[in-house]
Amino acid sequence: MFVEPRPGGQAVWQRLWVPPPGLIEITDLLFERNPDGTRAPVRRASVVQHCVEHGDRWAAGIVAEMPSTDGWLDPEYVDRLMVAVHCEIQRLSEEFRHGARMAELLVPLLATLGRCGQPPPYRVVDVGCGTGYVVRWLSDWCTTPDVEFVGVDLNPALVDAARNLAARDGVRCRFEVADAFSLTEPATVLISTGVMHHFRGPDLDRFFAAHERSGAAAFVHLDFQASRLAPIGSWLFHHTRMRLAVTRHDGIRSAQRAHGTDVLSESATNNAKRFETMISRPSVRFTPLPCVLTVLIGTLSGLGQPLLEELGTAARRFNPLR
Amino acid sequence: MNPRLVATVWVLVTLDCALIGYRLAMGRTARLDKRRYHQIASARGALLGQAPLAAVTALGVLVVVRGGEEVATEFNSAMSRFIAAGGAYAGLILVASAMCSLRSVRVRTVASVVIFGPLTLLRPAVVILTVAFAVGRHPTPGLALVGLTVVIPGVCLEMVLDRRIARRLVLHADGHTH
Ligand SMILES: C[S@@+](CC[C@H](N)C(=O)[O-])C[C@H]1O[C@@H](n2cnc3c(N)ncnc32)[C@H](O)[C@@H]1O
Repeated sequence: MFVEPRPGGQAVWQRLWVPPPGLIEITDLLFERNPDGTRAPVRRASVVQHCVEHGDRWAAGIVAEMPSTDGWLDPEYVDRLMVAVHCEIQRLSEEFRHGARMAELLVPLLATLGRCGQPPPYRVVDVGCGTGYVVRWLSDWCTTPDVEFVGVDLNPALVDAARNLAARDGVRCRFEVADAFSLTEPATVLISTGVMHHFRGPDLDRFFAAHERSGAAAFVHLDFQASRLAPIGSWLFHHTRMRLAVTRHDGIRSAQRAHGTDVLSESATNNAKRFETMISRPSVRFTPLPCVLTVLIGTLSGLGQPLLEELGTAARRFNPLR
Repeated sequence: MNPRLVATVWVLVTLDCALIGYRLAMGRTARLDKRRYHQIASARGALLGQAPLAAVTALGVLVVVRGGEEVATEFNSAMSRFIAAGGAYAGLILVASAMCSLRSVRVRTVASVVIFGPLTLLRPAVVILTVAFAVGRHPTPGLALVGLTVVIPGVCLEMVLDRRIARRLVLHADGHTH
């Protein structure tokens, strides 16, 4: 029987206060692809070694206990683990109301596109959709045939789970396997939730460069806001809400890995040059309290000002256009 | 023993059991509409709590019957204190639940993240402190025994069941494990 591995190696305060030098998430390390797109086997010892080299003994302890055959991670176990982890992560999306937040932004955005000469139909593509919570939520909320919702993810096991869930939910949407760095799915608006922090250094630039090449007219990305309080809040949230060691580990590391608003703005501005970008203010208005989430919006040049007007009072949550 | 106090304690503990059932069900299905799933889970929690609750009540009655008038008075005061402390916790939960029914996305987020999160984390401590406050500093052995029979399952039951669920989560994961 598979037993959920228990974390080891680091005390809770160390996990929070002394983040390892190389911040990694376990779920990023368990799935690899060959250059031809097929799934590559993953050696458990290599992943453990990778965690140790990045100074993350907690992650190394978790991976070391995963089932393997002749040293290779059991792919069936990894798939089920990924689905279970994303099922847990959905709690975060539900409690932070990612679906409703995205809807609040998409309504004025699509209205702006309509007003500025881009009539429906629209296709909204969620990049790195996981098990597709946001896409399913949006499809359930907006049933007009003018808007199509599509979710794409690199991991076929998650795409399969998303398709099954959509069928059970009875919602009209589509899920495909695709890479965020070479988007093949035509899109009017690219969206994502909790994905940008997975792309570090040059990968973040590649992510926005793919936006530039896509035919999209806009993008809306939601992710954790980097702040000193974020890892503590994340620990509290994941400790009380999540059961799997992998989810707890990755949840805390996500908060530690969150990009600052300058990093996101700069990368988007430099690499997605067709777009005007705006990013949400880092603190709650009139208070020093950090916001939990960052929203990064990009619109084709010239559409930023009309969008701000369409957003109404919600526009106050954003820094000026870049 | 005052039957009204017994009934109020019973309602409070049953509510807590329903919430345990609800929490144990969370994070195990990725379906969009979970209302029925959660209703069933809460009802199951409340129902499962009835047997231990009946056992503790029977033990309490036995202790009071054997101890006489003085012990009965001590039990009544203990139950009043339990209701005061447990009621305050239940009140907070009710306020957060009311906030969750509002339209504002932000108010609902604050309710679930800032109130429900810490309350869930603190629950074991709340159970221990509530029972300690109820039994008082110098309880008779009978009351102390009843207090222990409330604290031990009150703190451990959810943890044990949660661990069991965690072990099986990956085994059957397809997005809607029950
Ligand atoms: C933390 S999960 C977020 C999932 C979902 N958006 C949510 O909010 O629950 C990050 C997702 O990004 C996906 N991902 C990572 N790199 C990717 C890439 N290059 N292309 C597409 N998806 C990617 C992962 O497979 C994973 O499902």
